[in-house]
Amino acid sequence: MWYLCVFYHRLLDYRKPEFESLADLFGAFDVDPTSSHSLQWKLPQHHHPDSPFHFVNLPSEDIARNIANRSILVKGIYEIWGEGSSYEELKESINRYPDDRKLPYLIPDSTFRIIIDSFGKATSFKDQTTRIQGMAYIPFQGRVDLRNPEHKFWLIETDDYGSANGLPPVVDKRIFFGREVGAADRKLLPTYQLKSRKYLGPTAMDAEMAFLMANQAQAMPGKLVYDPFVGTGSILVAAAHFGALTMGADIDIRVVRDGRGPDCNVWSNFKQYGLQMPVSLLRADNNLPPWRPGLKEVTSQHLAYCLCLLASSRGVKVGWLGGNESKHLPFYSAIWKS
Amino acid sequence: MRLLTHNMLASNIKGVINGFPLRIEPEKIVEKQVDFNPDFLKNMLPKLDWKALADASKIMGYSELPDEVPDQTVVDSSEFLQKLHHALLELHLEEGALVCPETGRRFPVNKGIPNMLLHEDEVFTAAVAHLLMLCCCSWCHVPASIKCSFTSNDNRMKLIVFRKTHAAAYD
Repeated sequence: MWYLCVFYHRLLDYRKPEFESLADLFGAFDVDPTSSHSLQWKLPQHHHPDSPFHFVNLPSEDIARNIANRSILVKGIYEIWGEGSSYEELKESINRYPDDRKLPYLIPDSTFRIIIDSFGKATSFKDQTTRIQGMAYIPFQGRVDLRNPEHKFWLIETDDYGSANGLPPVVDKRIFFGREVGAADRKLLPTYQLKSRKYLGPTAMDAEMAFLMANQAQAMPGKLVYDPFVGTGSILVAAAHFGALTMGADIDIRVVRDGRGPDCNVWSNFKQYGLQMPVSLLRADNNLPPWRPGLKEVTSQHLAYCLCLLASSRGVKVGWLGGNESKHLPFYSAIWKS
Repeated sequence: MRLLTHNMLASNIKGVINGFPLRIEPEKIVEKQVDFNPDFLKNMLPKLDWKALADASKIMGYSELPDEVPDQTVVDSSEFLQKLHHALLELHLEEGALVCPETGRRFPVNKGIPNMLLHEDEVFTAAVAHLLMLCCCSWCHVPASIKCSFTSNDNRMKLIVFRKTHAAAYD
């Protein structure tokens, strides 16, 4: 089934890779494991590829919900009830949408709210109220609950806002109305933000990026995630948040062994958030990884991607590109997949 | 360092063919309680080198693990998984060393962190070491008798031998 996926308008190149890694994690490709492990995507008419609006084909609503709830860059996944270039077209489109898909969400005992959203411009409170009232032709029978509704309906507008939103202009005005299937929990970003973390180094990975990488590495309970350049452990913290056991190596022994004292080191970063301690930290040089032969190396596309990300983000920061390590970028890894 | 890590580590000195398993020289062993996670253990079990784990846990003073991987019915029992959990994740080598089975090189373990970093004379292959040595010898005018001593079969030691004799020749 096709869903509308709206992304946060940031880290544009990582949006689809994160989405597809999570789709794989939640079993979207289980039916046909030989498939290319990529999803079908479609852009709304006249939208630029950088647009935050994408249609995506997913096998089930459960998978869609799981992806959205776990992701960092998905603002929401919606089951679209109707779309159009004007409110009249939208009305027709919604009325055409089959009743058996709509009525279960409109029953008397349910609670709901309608959220007005637009991309690249703000809608005044007065306009929002008018728009919501304009949706009265949908036979809502439930009760409105603004705090904790069972069903959230979104009315999302895109328009040609010139260059105000940094994208090439969208030619058509487009209005979407849909039911929210799931949305990202970005509350964990302030929880894990670096400025409140105890042990930090010059290369500590920003929390958003770290969670993005943990998602692409498909960290979950039962898995072991290894960071060959662990530093202060900022990537492993994100992996441990999702329940994976972690392991890290660094060439600088002061970082992994001593930190800045007994209460300010890699271990204390895990303790701070109540996460499971890493299985191990060790000192090693990734030019000569100290792993036994036969240890299965996984070079899945997600992992390779994840490490590229790591190499590029850190390469720039630490200035490795002129250093020794550039000859052997960290494409060695020992994430053991279940 | 836990035994799960030990089960993955090998001596990576160039030229070493069988650097696994590393022999444990324990000085201080601690036990730390870890949440029991049967799914993780079941995922890990097929990837472990069982003999290395069983031997290592004996050296660490825990001899409850069987010598062979037990069959499936035992593997699923929580009694077995508890033992595996204890051996794999709760036994920590806090101080001591890991010793390469082929060369006897000691990798120290300090504050629970194994130091697997090699010295620069351990990272060349024998051929490179030999070449480098010959160049240096001719450059330094090392007497032929010392050169002969480099043809020892122990290729890995060549550069080390060279360093020592080289220093002597200079003095």
